[in-house]
Amino acid sequence: MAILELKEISKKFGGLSAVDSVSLKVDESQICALIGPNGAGKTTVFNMITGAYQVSGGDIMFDGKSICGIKSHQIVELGIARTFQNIRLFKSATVLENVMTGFHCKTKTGMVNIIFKPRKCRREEEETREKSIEILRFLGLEDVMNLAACNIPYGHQRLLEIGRALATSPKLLLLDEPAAGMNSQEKEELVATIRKIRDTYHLAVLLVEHDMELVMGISENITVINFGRKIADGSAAEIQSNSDVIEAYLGRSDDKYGRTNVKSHRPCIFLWKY
Amino acid sequence: MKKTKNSNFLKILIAAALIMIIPVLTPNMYIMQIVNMICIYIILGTSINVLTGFTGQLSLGQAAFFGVGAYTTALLNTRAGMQFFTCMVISVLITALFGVVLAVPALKVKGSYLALLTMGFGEVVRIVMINWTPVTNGTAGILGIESPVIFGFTFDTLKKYYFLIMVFVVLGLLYQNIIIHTRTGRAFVAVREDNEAAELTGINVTGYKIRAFVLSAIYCGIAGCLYAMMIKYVSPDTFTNNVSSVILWTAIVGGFGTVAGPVLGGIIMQVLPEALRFLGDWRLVIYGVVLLIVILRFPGGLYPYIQKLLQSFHKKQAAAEKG
Repeated sequence: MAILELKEISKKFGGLSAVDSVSLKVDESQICALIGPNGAGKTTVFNMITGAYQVSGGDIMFDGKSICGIKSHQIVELGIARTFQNIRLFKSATVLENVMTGFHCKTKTGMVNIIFKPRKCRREEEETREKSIEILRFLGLEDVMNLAACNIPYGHQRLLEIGRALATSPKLLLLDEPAAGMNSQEKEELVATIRKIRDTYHLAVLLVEHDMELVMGISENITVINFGRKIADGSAAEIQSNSDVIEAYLGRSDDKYGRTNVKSHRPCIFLWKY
Repeated sequence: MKKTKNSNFLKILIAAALIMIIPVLTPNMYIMQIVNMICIYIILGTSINVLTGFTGQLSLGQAAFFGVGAYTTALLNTRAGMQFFTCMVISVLITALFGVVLAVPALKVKGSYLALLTMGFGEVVRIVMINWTPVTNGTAGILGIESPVIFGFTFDTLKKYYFLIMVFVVLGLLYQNIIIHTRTGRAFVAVREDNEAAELTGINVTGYKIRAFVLSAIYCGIAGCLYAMMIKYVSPDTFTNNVSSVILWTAIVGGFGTVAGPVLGGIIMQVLPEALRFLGDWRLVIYGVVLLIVILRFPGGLYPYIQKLLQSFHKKQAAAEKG
């Protein structure tokens, strides 16, 4: 069953069509990827799913319900969490506090009921703390949990962002270039972590990534978009042999008879491991 | 665990003893008045700390909330003859309403524009106080506010009044200390750090900005009510932009984003101008220079600096005990 379904969604900025009737499906507990050259509209799609942009056309179905026109924080509450391309943590708060902030939509303590139900609120606070530490332990960040978020290494900051997203107990996790700026060893660890997250928390993952090695290695389904249009989807092997995809990434060369020849580029594509 | 509980208990005991001993030690009414003003400014400093220190919404119009609270109490007491608690509750409700009124336009702007907007709000409120003569009595202000009477006990002297203010100071600080360590406090900090990331972590940014404005206004309303009943006279001169900036300074000098910061800030900001009185006209110059030195030398405020000093002292002590 599909947890997320984009039905021919479009986004127009004035006259410019940034995304043009893109359809996409993410099944439960599936790891999917959305790829495309720079400026293809990947992040725009993400922003539409999370409610930061309103769709100009089409519909977004999450868990069987349309989420078009719902506010971002309510979409998070429904179960979609995301990370950012350029890390956006709450820098001066501690690592633990960052994750605890993620539990916001699952808890109820407010400004008034803290006065009238202090015991209940304290219990909730302790539960939040325990669950947060559990997530940090799962991600291997428990040693740094009392440091300020801006003082931990870059790779850890990326993980912490995932941790904060996990705290909202999502059914779908959107990762926007999770491997940006990581070295190859860190990337391998990231692949393992993403799989582990999927298996432990039983959630679907949709990622945008430029690193093909990672995308091909982890994704069960890949959607390719270019200039705002979907040009292909399928498994890693299917994508790698798709001529439109190759053209989008490497350009087209015409041979002397004017016939389009994409086969000559095949070897480059096969460098993508899977 | 047991040790921390004991030391916490000891701290509370020391604090309580200090609170009780202050009015005994003050030699005259002049100093008692300063002590009471310190207490009121602690509440005001706490109010801006919620808004600017934790939620990151710079406000230069706190005096407006303070003034609305004071005028509400003054009017209710002199015209309708209402007593302390009723005045307090209605003042708080009305300032909270003003908090919402200011929050609505404030949601649309950020940074220096927000500062200008809040400053403008402060001016609007002050000018209304001056010109709405039938209600506010214009520049002459409102005279003849009665001392609060609670269960037959009249708080007619400054020393008695000190304890009444102290109740609100302690409750206000306690509430803030609790709230910032809960979900609400974390949401405030998240809004301060990154609006968009906060929204996508499931926090209703708009809602929390409004809440911060309202909470801040409520603190000001309490301070305003206490002020009106202490001085027994309110006039537009008391709620100028200058007061707004003193409130801001209270939090800056003490340390934004710390609960104890405004306490320290309140003491410094009230004691300093009085202590420098012997300098005559030069006192304001020296006052300014001292404040400049404070923010240049201790950019995060004095309280975080003192905290660091204490921590390193404790570490040294622990090391000495070991070695």
